[in-house]
This record gives sequence, C-alpha cells and structure tokens, in this order.
Amino acid sequence: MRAPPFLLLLMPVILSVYWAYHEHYATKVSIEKVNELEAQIGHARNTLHWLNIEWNTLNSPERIMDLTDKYFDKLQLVKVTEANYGNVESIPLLDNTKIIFDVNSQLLLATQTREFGQ
Amino acid sequence: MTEVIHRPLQNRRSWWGKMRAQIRTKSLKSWAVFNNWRTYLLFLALHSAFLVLVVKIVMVSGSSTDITGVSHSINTSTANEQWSTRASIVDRNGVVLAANMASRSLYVQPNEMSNNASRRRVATELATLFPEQDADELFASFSNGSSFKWIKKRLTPEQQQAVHDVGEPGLHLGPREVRVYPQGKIAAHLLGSVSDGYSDAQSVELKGTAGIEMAKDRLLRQLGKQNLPLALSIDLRAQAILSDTLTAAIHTYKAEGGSAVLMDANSGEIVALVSLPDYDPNLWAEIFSGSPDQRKVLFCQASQGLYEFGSTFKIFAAAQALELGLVDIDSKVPNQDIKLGKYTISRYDTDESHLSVEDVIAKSSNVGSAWLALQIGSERQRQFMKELGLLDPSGIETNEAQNLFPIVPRNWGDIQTATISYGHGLSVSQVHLAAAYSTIVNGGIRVWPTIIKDNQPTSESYRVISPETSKKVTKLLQSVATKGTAKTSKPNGYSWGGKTGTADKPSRGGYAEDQVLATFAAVFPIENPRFTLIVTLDNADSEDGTKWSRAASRTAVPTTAILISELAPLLGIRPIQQSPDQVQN
Repeated sequence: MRAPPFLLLLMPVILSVYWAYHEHYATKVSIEKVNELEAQIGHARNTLHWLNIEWNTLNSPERIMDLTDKYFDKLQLVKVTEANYGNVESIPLLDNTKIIFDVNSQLLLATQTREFGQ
Repeated sequence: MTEVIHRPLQNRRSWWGKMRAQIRTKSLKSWAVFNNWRTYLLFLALHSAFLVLVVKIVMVSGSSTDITGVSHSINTSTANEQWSTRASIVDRNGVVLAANMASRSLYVQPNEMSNNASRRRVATELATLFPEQDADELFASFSNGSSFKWIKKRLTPEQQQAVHDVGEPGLHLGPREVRVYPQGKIAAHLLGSVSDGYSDAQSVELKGTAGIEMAKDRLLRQLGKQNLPLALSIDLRAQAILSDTLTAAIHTYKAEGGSAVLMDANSGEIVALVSLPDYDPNLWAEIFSGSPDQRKVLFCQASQGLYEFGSTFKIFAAAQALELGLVDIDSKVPNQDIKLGKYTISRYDTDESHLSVEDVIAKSSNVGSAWLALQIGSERQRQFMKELGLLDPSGIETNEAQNLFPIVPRNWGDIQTATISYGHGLSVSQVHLAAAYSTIVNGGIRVWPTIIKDNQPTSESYRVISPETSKKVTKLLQSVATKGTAKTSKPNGYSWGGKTGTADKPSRGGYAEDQVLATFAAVFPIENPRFTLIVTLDNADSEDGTKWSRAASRTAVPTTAILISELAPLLGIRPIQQSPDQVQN
C-alpha cells in the first residue's frame, strides 16, 4: 500500500532532473550566443567610435570655415548675426492671442485665449 | 504471496514473466524497509531537501541575476571596449576634442624569416614604404641575430595594407592606441597632449604631458571610467569664432599675438579661450622637441602669461570705494598730480580741477584711481584683490596654469597701492582678470574659473560686493562704452560695457617706450551681464605707430565689438529690441 506515494514522490524528482539537464545545455547555448553578440556590439561600438572621430574631423570648424570660403560664390554662407533674431511683433497672430513680455522684453508667454474656430 | 515464489513451473515461464516475478519479489522486499517509520522519515526529509534545491534552481533560472559572469545588459561597460584606456574629452555640447583610436604598430621578428634573401627583400620593401628608413641599415639589424625590431609606432590604414601586401611571416602588426585631436588647432592650449609611457609590442601607456590631459591624467585613466567622456565648459563654435576673428585682428593691426577669454559671468565657466599663435596638438611632440622659437607657440598667453593689465584695474578701485561708501558715482575726485616720495603721478591735460568717479573710469584717469586707492588704503586694497582671486592661482585645470601664482609686489606700500589701482605692479593672467570682472558685475558673487562643465560648486561661492555696488559698477562700465574710451565702436545689436587698458610692456629695468599691451575687458549684455570677454592684443597698431594709434580704444575695442556681435547670437542672447521701422530698413 505504500508503493503509490513512493512513485508519486519519485516522479517530480525525475521530471526536475530532466528539466535541469535541459536547462543546463540551454544556458550553455545562450551564453555562447551572448558572447557572440557582445563581440558584435564591441565591434560595432569601435566602428561607431571611429566614425565619430572621422565625423568630428570632417566637421571641425576650421575645415568648415575653409569650405565656406572656398565655395562662397556658390553657397554665400555668412555667420549668424543679430539680424537672424526676429521680432515677436513680426509673427502674424490671431486677434485673440496674448503676448506677455518680462522687463527685458524677453518673450515669456504667448497664450491663446480661445481655441481655433471659435 | 510467498507461494508465488515457490511455484514449481517457474523455469518454464517466459523471460518477461521471470522479470515480473523478480521485480515483484525485490520491490516487495525493498518496500519492507518502509515498515520502519524512521527510514520513511529520512526518505521524506531527503526528498523535501531535493525539492527545495529544485525550487531554488527554478528561481535562479527565472531571475535576471547574473550568475554566469556574462553581462546581459548592453549598456554596461564590458570587455569589448577595453582597448580604450583613456577617456575622451568633449566640449560642452558633446563634440569630440580628444579621443583614443585603435591603430597598428609595425615590428619585425627577423628570426621568423627563413633566409637572408627574404630578409633583404623585406628591408628593401620597408625602405620604399617608409622613406625615413634605410634599406641597408634595416638588413643589418635583421641579420645580427636580434629577435625583435620596431619599425614604426603608428601606421595609417593604407600603410597597414601595404605591409600586408609584403606578405612576409616575420612582419607583425601590433595593436596600438593613439590619441587624436580631431578639431586640430582649436583649443590646443587647453587640451595639451599625451606621450607614450611604457610600451611593448601589444600595448602602450598614454600619459598626459600638458594641459588638461596632464592635470586630469588620473581621472582620464581611471579604470572602468574610460568610457565616460570628460566634458569641458568650452563651446567649440565660440572657440572657433574667437580664434578666427582674433586672427583677423592680429593681421589687421600687425600685432605680435593676441589672446582672449570668454567667461560665463555667473558660473566662472570658461566658454572659450584662445591664445595666438597656436599649434596643432596632434604635432605636440614634434613642436616640443623643436627649437625654443618653435616651442613659443606652446605657451598660452591667456592662462600662463602674467601681465600688467593697466587701466582695466581702475574699476576695482572704484568698485571697492563704492562698496566701502567712500564715494558715489557722481562724487568729485581731485584731478591733481599726486606726489608719493620721489614719484609723481601726473594728471592728464584736462583743465578740470575735479572729476566725477564716472569720469575717472570713462576717461581713464590715473590720478583719479590712485586717489581712490589711497583713500581705501593698502591693507584693504590687498584684501579686496585677494577676495577677487587676483593673488592666488586662477585654478583652471591645465597643468601649466593650475599652480601659477600672480606676481605680487613684495612690499605693498602707498606707491604700490597707487600704481596697482591703475594696473601696474601686479601681474595676473587674463583668466584672473576675467574672473575678477565676472565677480564684480554678476551681482558681487565670487566666481572660480574652470574649464570643466558643471564643476562649479555653488555652495562655495561667497559675496565680495553688494548687489547695489555691482549695479553701480555695471553702470560705470557702461559709461565707458557710451561716452568714454570705448565710445568709438559698438557691437551690432547688443549692449555692452567694459574698460580699456593700454599698458606699457615691461622691459629691462623699466617700461618699453613703444611696446604696449592693449586690453579691453568687456561685459555683455550690460543690462544683465551674462558674459565677460577679455581681449588682449600684443603690440597692436591701428595706423602709424604713435601712442594714440596703439591705444586699446583703437585696437582691442573694435576687435571686441566685432567679437560680441558674432558671439552673442550663438550664445543665445537676444539682440536689443528694435522698433518695427528699424526692422523694415
């Protein structure tokens, strides 16, 4: 009469042994996969690092300024000046828009009192 | 049950029957052990222990805890980036200023080559690849039995390919890191350089030898932090504009050199620092080993050069007198010669018997500022200079400047008090001057210069002058621009203030007659000062070499005006609001 509980106890042991065995090899495979991916990531990062340096070399202000000088007749690029800042008054606004400035005439807030279409 | 065991026909039974019989017999026998309750208890205990282990394994396999030594997060730094042994340096917007790059070195192991013919061939081919090598010398060094020979420490990718094409087994390309400065000359004086420390065929130690590379060497090489770039407070765009415009000014005014410092007046962060002539930090080693004349470019006039900045110091005397309540902006100061022992400070040839404090600054009167300084007294003046940071190293993080003390007079008597009030007798760097100006215009809070972003500890800051005094000082500086020595120029669209200084350069035993250092210390926008810009031109001449044509108001002031109209839009400062009519024009 004691045989059934013994078998009942043995079954989970066997199942868990099978599961652990399976898991062990699955882990080994995924570690290998992770290593491979990490190597790929490392390689990609190094490439990115290289490209970043190259990008910075190509975009160094000295080089850009030389290029703007060289192609000035075609591009006519000039430095940013105060004229590139616009005035808030020059933006067309709806009648019901409020503009609030602070003491230094810096724009603080532009709010619409009503929604469009109303 | 026992009768089954003793069945006589058991030999005639099939093998399966025998097996079954055996199993039944044995299992029954083994089952018997469980008749003992102690054994049963032991079995249960072992079984539950096993189950606990199983549960533990399941839990471990389900969690993300790293038990294998493999990192599962791609954001953590792992072995894949360990080739970089030195952190990058970037500007305040993340633009790369200095970085390590993987390169290849070339070395030869002659004993791996089979015979002298191939050694001869390698020597000839390498000599054609690298013209600085001699074929016969190479062959001699290959054949003398040595097992290792460096050919070149740093190869370009094309050279690496060419070496591969030679295709001899004794040729080896070893990994080697090199430090590159992608931006070239810009910010060279701040960055400094690195040089090779201990090196072998597989690696090299890069050590800082100048600039911030040396001052922050340990931080840049800190293990595990090499992937975190060091961010400077420098804005590369501002740096480029400063360098470009200053180069043009030096050319226009036939100056020997020039330097400029742009500082955030509230935090002390240096946004741009230029010293001309400059150099390419990629070639630092070559320049350093060159002649003393070539080495001159390595000297940073803005952070290393200690100069007497002349009249730019007058504002300090005025600020302190205002702070102490000795005078107000419109108080009258006697405009008379001052006699101190055997020295006389002579007044300018205006007929007025008195000048207001505003005029002392606007018209840059020596006797006026000397009178103010003598009212203050030498001890209090010295204390004030100390509080402005003019008597200690500026503390910016380059190897050359971080421990550089200003030249302070040994004996600080009345004569020194008077001359220091108009900028002679105390030599400081431009960075010192920028910090002192920032302190007096930002509301009176002391700033500590730095070239590292967000390094400023706000808790350390303390008040030097009151906000009211700071407002008055700003007004004085504005009057220089509106009616004083700087009224000739004006930046487009922006308000400014500042103080000129034309200092005779010291030479043997006194001051040179025709050598001047023209400085303009500017503050903008003047209503609410955010930046301090100090521009110095060495021996600039606007026209004919007369004293007038060499004055700062003719050289440094127009240069600064152009600089501010180019820099301010980039720094995000809105121009003065124009009326709609002006916009249309």
